[in-house]
Amino acid sequence: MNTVLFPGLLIVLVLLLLAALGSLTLKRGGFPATNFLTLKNLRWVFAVYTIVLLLSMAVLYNLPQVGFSGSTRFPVASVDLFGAARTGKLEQTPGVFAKGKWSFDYGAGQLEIAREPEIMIWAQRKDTEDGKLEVGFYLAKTSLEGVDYTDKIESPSVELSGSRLTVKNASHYQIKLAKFTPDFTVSQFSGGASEQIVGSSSLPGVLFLRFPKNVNIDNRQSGILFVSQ
Amino acid sequence: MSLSETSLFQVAKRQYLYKFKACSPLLFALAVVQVLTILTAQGGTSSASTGGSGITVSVYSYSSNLVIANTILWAFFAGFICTTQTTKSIDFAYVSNRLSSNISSIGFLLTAGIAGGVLATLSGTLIRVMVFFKLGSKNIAPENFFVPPQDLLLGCLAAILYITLSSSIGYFVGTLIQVSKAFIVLLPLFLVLAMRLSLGTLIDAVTKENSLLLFAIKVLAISVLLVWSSALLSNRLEVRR
Amino acid sequence: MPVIESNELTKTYGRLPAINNLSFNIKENKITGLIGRNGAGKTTLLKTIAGFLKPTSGKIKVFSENPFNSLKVSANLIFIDDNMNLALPSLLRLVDILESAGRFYPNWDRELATRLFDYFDFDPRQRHRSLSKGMRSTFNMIIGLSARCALTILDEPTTGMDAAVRKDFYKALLKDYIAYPRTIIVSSHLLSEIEDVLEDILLLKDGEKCVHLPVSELKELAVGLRGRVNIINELARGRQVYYSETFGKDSIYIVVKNEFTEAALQSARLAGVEITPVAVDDLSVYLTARSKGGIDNVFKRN
Repeated sequence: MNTVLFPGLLIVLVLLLLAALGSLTLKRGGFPATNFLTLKNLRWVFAVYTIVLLLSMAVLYNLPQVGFSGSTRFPVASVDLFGAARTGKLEQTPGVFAKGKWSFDYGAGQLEIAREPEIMIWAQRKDTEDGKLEVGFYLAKTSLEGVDYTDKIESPSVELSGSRLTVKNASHYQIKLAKFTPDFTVSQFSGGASEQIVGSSSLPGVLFLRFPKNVNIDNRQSGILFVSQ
Repeated sequence: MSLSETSLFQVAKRQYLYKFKACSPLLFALAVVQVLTILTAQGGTSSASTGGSGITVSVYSYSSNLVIANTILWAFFAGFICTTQTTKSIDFAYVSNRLSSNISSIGFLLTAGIAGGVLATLSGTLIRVMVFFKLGSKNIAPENFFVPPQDLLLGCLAAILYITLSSSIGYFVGTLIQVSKAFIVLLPLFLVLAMRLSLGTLIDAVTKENSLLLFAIKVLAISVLLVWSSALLSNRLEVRR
Repeated sequence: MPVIESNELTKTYGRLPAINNLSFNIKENKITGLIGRNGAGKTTLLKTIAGFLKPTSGKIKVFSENPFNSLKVSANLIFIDDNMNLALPSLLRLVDILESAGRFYPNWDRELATRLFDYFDFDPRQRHRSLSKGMRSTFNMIIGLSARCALTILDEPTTGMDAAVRKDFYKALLKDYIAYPRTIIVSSHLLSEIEDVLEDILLLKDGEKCVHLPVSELKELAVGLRGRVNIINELARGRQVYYSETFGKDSIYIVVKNEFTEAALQSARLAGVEITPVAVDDLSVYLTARSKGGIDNVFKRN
């Protein structure tokens, strides 16, 4: 809705402004601001405006060309996160990024997992009883409207206290991304190569927990998917 | 006392220069429209948002489309204003005839239109710089950020052509209304009718034209036709203060 | 070659003619007063001369050309009326307006404009729109005079001016006209004030020419007679009576065309008739009146 409403409002605003200025030209009618509207000031206004634009041109083309958000121009083949998790190849799969890694010592026994809703947890029983809980947060390349924001996603926090593993979302944060589209004056004539909008990946990331063979986790808990080898 | 002689060229030139002073409110309006649009377009148009898992992601889309569009609107308005009795009275207060008045108005609209088109296109660089310093480069998609100079030039030319077309239309509409006030009602009706018939294809022929050269030819042909008709029609009009 | 030639000029708005079958010539380098009641067609005539309006029928020639769309006429003509605020850009300062005007007219006298500007105490940074009515007229007059156009048209130039400023205006007009002769047409309501400046008077009534004469002849055109009714009526027989007014039971005052011999006037004086000259402004009122009597008739109940 925003995309239609906002420009529309702006155009109405512009029209009103023009009408107001128009009534200035046409009839008498005092307008206190008109003292500003002298020829000298007009020249200043245009001079300043032009200089600002020229300066910004100079600044723009001297900005470093690196350090931008990832590009989605060349879409990566979709990643089978689940398959990679099952076969233990998450670390090696290209297009999968590890955001956080934890390792906890844990002996045998029951493990309770407290999770905040919306966090997807996959759990896999290891073959060994090495007393280590290995937790990692993985995600595939994530983008919205063609802007890659994978590196801006924060991983949840993972804490072990007694027999409870607490997984919490990173505190609520906002990611603001910007993208620039070519002006219609340019896109009309430059072959109209429209961008490939790569849709966002549906998974915002998954917490993958590998636990020792002798640890038990209640498998009726919702939100936890048990991955077999 | 001996009579002074003068030529159409001299009169038109003097009037043309005078118009920049006489129509200064229009020029102010141009600057205000552009600056205001740049400032309010700072929010960008938010194209999509997603939420969940404790994060909100929004992507803001930026371009100078709005600045250019508003300048095109301004051009229509300016073209219209140049045909009103007020502007004609200003011309005729001194030395003028109807042809010189038309020529000087058209020259003024062209010049202001060129300036407006260039400034509107360049406003994109200002917007990019402002967003860069506000959000940081890591939050910006690299595509279309560094505009190649040939695209800037292309954008300027196309913008100027659109603006010229718009002010020609405004000039023609204004002239029709001067000829007869009935057109205030007739024109919208005619527009609705024309849309049903072939106006849509004409609009497409212009706005969907991919070749800059053909586009320029079409725009200039239409503009010249509109402006010439206006000059012919207005040649019989009286000046009323 | 007369500067202005009008031949059966008619201009109609809707049904009513504003000027009707008007024929006259105005010669070069004369100051002519265009006099008439409100609605007599003065402004319409002046605007047609200036080329703003097109005649409905008949012909008008200025400098031997049709003024409508003529650059030659426009370059040698300046038209000043009390609607200048619509013809001058509302945002320009007074100083800028004078400067712009100067660029259009090769005869523009910058020094005169500046001197007049300072004399009347204008603030250079003011806008035309924010001036009082009288100041506006004064400023417009400065433009009109400094342009030194071969044909200078002033339509009600003294609107809003106070008496002192008006006096200055007439003086300035006369002085500059004598120093730089040109053809000037002034329309005004205040004939009594301006008649000393005028050479000719063109009197309009309902869009038609009533009288076009030099002021000196107009002064002698009619004579005022006052006396007893029967004597006056006898004198008035067969003559053109422009105005009559009764006083009391037996006294009457008439204005009649002066075709009397000196002897006839003498005998009238001996018979008790009071003979007075008729002021030009009074005469123009009588000539353009709708009825023979004055407004007093409205108040007579007999």
